[in-house]
Amino acid sequence: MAVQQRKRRLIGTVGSILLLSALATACAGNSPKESASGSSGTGSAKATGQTTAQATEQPIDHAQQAKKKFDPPVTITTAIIQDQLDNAFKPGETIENNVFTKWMKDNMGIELKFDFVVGKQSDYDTKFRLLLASGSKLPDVITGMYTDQLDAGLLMPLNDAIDKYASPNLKKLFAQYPQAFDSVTRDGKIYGIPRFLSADEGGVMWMREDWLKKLNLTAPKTIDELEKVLEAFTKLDPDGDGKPDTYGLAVSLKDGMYTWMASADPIFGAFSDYMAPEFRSIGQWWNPDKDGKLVYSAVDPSAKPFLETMARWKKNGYMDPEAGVKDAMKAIEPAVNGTAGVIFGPNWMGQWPLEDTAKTDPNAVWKAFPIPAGPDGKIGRVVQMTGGAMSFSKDFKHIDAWFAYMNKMYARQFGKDDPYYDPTFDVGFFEGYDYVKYDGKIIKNGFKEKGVPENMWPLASGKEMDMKYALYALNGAFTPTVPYLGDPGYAKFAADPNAQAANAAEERVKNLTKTQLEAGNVRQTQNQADKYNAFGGPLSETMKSKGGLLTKLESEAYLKIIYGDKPVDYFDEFVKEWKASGGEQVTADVNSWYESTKKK
Amino acid sequence: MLYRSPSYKLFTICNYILLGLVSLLCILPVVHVFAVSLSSRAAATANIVNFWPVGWTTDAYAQTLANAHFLRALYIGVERTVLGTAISITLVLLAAYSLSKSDRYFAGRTAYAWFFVIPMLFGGGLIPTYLVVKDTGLLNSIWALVIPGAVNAYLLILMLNFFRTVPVELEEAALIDGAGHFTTLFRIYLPVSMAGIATISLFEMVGHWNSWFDGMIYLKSTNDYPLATFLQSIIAKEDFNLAGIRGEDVANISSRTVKASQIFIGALPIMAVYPFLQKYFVKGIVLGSVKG
Amino acid sequence: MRETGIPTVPAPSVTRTRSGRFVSYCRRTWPLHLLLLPAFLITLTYQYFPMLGAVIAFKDYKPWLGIWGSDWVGLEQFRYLFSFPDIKQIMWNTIVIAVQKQILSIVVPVLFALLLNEVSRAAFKKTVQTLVYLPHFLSWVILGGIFVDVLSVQGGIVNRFIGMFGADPIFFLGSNHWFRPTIILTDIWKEFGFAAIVFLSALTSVNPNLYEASEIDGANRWKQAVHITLPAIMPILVVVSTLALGRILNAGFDQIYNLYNPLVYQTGDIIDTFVYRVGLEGGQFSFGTAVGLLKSIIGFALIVTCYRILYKVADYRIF
Repeated sequence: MAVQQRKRRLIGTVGSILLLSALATACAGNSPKESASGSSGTGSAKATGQTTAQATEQPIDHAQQAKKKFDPPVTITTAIIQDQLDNAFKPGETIENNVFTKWMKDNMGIELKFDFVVGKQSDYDTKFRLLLASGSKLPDVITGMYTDQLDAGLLMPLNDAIDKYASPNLKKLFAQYPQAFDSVTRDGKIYGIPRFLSADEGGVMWMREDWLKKLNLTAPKTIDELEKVLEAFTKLDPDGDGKPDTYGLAVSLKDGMYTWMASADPIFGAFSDYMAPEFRSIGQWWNPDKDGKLVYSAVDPSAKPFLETMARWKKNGYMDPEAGVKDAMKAIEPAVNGTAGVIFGPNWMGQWPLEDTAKTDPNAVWKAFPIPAGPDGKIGRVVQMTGGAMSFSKDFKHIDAWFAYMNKMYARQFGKDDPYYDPTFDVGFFEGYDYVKYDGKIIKNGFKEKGVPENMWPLASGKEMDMKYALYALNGAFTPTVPYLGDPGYAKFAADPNAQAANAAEERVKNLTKTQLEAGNVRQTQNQADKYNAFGGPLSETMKSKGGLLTKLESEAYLKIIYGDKPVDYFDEFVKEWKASGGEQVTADVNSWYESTKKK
Repeated sequence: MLYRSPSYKLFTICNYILLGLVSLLCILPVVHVFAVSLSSRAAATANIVNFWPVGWTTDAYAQTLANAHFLRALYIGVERTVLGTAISITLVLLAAYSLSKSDRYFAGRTAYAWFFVIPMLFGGGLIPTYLVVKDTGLLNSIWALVIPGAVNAYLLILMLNFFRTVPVELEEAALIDGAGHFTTLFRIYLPVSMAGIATISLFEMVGHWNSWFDGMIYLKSTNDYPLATFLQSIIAKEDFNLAGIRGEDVANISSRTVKASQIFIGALPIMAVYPFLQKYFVKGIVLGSVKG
Repeated sequence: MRETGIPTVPAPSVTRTRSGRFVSYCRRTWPLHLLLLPAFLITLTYQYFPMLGAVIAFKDYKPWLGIWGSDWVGLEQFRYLFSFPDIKQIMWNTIVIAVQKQILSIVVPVLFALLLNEVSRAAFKKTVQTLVYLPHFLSWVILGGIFVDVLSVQGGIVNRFIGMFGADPIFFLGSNHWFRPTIILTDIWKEFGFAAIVFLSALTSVNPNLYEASEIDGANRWKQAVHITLPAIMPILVVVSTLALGRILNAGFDQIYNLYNPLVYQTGDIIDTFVYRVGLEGGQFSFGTAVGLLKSIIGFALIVTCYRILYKVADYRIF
């Protein structure tokens, strides 16, 4: 059918030109959304260090700036991905016109306009591609840093603006994590403001506590113990229905050994000092070895015992036999429908999806445990530090207004002492939106359960509103975050759900369920296991031309070994082939970038 | 009643059984998806739904239908489909008529035919097409969805072949009566080719109705999105921005139930229109107008 | 070949000269040109002008430099395509899958149309026809998940069925042996009902008198099917098949993308999925265009060849 054929051709073309895959960005954190021009980013000194050392701009008076209303009002244009619908806005309000856009106009003198609104990241990338190709004006504030735009000289360097306009606390944050700027810096100039993640997504080991109890087992602390538990879950009928319909581990291997749920990264971390390989990008993961050289985790010899273990588990039926064809969303099904008893993933899984298990099996109890240690006592898991960055059109005239806005939004994270802290937002943003005042209490969720009358609910459905589209449109609908800041909250609120939150980060934690909180505590006990990608540079020419081939080799090798199609020793052959097919060159490129960043 | 041999009777029975099984095979997954769309999110995540909803809920549909944009998107989708199909079919019919004449009569016909066929295979791709649409001023309007793709060469060729099956006698009779080409086309060809017209109309309608990508790239605001773009771009989160998936976001992820409901919301209008067109392909049309 | 046209006898004096013939040609055919004009203009503007952009395939396209400003690199992209060690395997996968799909996607709908034609109960006929075209509306995103379940090694319906005959479960989506047949069969299943519509409508143009006449001559249904029904849909069949040749290197990105995984790259990785993954990393726009161009050229060459053969051998122009 020609119409579909054309559609498919379009899709095929777009797909094959995805220069700016957010996936690559996202997984990298320190994103390789980098250029076709082959610059290897040499000499990109630690820019923040540079700016604070040789501040060329004097910071403005923040206390004054915090109160400033821009007069005449400034207009800031942006574009956004709005992918949430039913609880983002009250009826009658839209992303372009809502309580917060009004507030911004009246209080800060900032008028917000949207050049376009799309529904998902790939659409957003396509639109930017088209904007560039047709020579159209870019929005002032851009979610993501598009290297094409950068190469075309269309993005604004931010070193001076940061010096001058970023609040002191924000600057401190930047200085604390300079590696977050690696991927947005070129030749010493910063082009993007990284968006920090909360870093509390490190995996924990979720297990069916009811099964453990039934089979009289204790939670495993090592991989060997885990293996025994997996065996028991597979063979000893933990759900008591007399059928051999259970197994141990629910896991997704299709996209790599690390994925956002049902991951295998803690298992890899038990054997290796490096991060569990994923199959999408050659930029992930690179970690320093003991000599300070960056190593591609997938080809390190420490992967071999991991593969051996996984292959054995697969052969014995301790894990999902179809893990290799399932992505994260599909891989959680066995956990939710009572087939699997162990699954690795972030602490929030306690609510979704794992809570749903109880709906099919009322006896199901999932509990979070620390990840097991390997034969040498190692533990490790993959964590990402940043989720993209915000960049700006070089024609943007009001970067100070954006910073004023950003400083204000961040202030809630930093606490009352921040010069930009706005007391009107003390308990929440807008009454009737993200909170209601009822019976002398501030209530943010669970309106029905807490007895709030229906006419006071923010939304007719009783759900809480997701304010991030209204509040953070100028940050790409991403809540400003400080890594690890909310950690004290986990213990605090697990003990007392009504305790006081010290800042917005803790507030967010306060909203989590008990299971999630407890899991968060478990996660914190092993924060030393967190590993971050050390490579944040642009992709070299070889990485771009050979990357697809190398990741294909990697994905095939790993899955074939785990599935028993090839023996474990095939790993050595794979490494040889990987090196010969461009891996050697890529490693050299990555390390030369790494060396260049070390010069301070 | 004509005689049917016993072997034919046997064949008929087998045929009915076979066709029945095949139909079942086709309808079961559709029933399954429908059941998922009416199931609870938990049941869908656990994947325990078979052919009947588990944890009956209309939440998935409500999420889409209750959305303020939905009605508008629906309207625009209908507008685009009707407009686009009308324009397209008109152009195709006119052109197919001309192309169905013989080479002898209409020299250069084959050149035209190849002219239309070549772009079926060769295209400039996304960016060049976008630039042309922009430069012709169609951006941000419904015309961008309706004009650029108006000439569907595949349908043109189909129609041309349908027109060729019109009996020559009919045409000659008309010409003897003094009819020119326009009259012949409208009075003779069209009425007699309803099967073909119904076929290409159906294809064109389905194509327009399901076409979402062009809406996304050519239109600026989600307010202007036709239904397919609306469903695809906003309702169905197929790819995740893995950066910063956080606990509270996760609970809101479009579950399978929403995606399932989206299929039916999108397909319903076509399925409603279909029976009206079906009669053209399933029952025969008696060409009883020519004798001898 | 259809012979149309007014058997006018033009005045001899007018047609003996070149310009005379031309004038009579215009007088005869100007309505036909006029009828073609709108379609011609739109095709020219929106299909041919963008085609000039295909030159991107020969350039190192940088969007901000524009199409004309980007560097010319000649056949570099094509050389790059063929430099991949897997490329032969990938091409082979593509061709094998695409060819089998094209063949079956003609044969199955035609067979189905013929069988359905034998059904005399209108209600049954209509019902069947409506049911079988429904899978066309399901997207591969949803079907991906469904087929993982249906084909699951652990209790999937298909494997349970196989188990009834005592065979071992088959890991359809993870086995290089079974992946291709799975892809092909599931695609046919999804599309045959919709594809059959074209053939069903062609069948309606068959003159029922022919059936009656042949009955009288003693032909049974089988002979009728072979000598009347099949030839009646032959033109459409030929057209559809030939046009399908143009898509010979399109093995179905959407479907394969949603069903494949590294275990079956060996037999299932096709040109489009491969280019997609390479594109993710390298962001090579020119590369994608070059591959598209290559596919177009090959498809076009096949169509032209087929067209000429049919013309020379059967004096039949498929379009």
